[in-house]
Amino acid sequence: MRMIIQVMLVGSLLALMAYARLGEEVHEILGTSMLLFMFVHLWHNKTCLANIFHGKSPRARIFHSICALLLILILCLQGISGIVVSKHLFAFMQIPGSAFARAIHLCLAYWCFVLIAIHMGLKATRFIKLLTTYFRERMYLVILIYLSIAFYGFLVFTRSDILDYMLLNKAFMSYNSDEPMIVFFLEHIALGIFFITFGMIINKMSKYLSSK
Amino acid sequence: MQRRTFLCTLGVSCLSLCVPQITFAASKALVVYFSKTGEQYGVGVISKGNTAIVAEMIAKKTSADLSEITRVDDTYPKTYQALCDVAKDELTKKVRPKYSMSITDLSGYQTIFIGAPVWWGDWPMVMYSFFEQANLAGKMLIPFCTHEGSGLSEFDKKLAKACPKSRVGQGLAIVGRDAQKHSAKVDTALDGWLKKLAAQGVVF
Repeated sequence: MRMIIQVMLVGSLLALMAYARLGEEVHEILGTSMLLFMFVHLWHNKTCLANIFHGKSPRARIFHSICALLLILILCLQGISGIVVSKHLFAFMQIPGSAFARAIHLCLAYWCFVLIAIHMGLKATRFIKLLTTYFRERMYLVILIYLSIAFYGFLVFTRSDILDYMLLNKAFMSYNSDEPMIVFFLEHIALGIFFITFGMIINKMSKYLSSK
Repeated sequence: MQRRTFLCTLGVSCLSLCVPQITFAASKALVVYFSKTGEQYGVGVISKGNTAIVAEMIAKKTSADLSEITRVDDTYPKTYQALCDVAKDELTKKVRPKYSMSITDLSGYQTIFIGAPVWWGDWPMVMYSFFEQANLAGKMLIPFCTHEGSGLSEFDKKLAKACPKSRVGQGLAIVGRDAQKHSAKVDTALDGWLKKLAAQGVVF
């Protein structure tokens, strides 16, 4: 069940990034679902959440804690801003301030994407151990493929407007409606893998610094 | 002398019957636009709308007629935040506001440039009133818009969907800020766009 929720979270996130391509109504349904998945995910990890500032090696977990708390805050803000700008599911509420909410929603969407990827990277230890077990002899190939995808993700990040959206330099989203959907999703997966790598590096560094 | 004149006249008449008649089609173009003044995103409080500036430039370059679409009972707020809320409300409810324009008889126009600012990723709802009520069948419609980052926002596809009996040409998106502050940049963009349209056989 935990794994299913986590897969649904990642799947929803990817689909949400394709807002302009999948349509606003689908985007609002997915956004609402993602919030619900997040609450279920938090419930599954309630013990971890309760001990966020306690327990073993708190210094090693400081990035985990900051990332997790920031994510909860950002996702809640996304939900609120999403409701304000809603044109379908929550349009009946007619909450004023849509211009400000729209700008915040766009900015936080990319922060959300980046932080979820980093969060996954911070938690990737178990997944890496699994890979090492199954691909023991071919691990070098797995690493090569992984790093190639991560590098491509870095290139996607540099040539896109993502940083402008994150820093509110651009407050309106432009999109290429002629780009094939598969290309869009593959590029965002590569982008996610780039930031997952970030998380893995931060995890390694924090453990190393804590051991000193 | 009279015989010579008669023969020349006869000869010219026969020649004119042989040479195919060349007629000049009504190639007059029209620029129709909707534009807002007051406080707008990224440009502060303006007395002339971004789209109005671009529309006037297009009309000048193509010697086209110009007609502004204004909403009857224009109660649009003058502040940006409030305007956004109203625009969103109109879009959600698919409102069709009543509009007026100086040129109502569009029958003489073969090509119509249609421009508006991008509101919530779409044409302002008053433009849909125009699309649905004006007789645009058989005409070449060329969309253009002003925006602050969202680009053309599929204005061409939305226009084609709203006007299925018209042909829709390649659209142009101009950043609103550029319309207000960088007219040379807009001028260059317009020249390139009009050249492409002419090469595609658009008559104006």
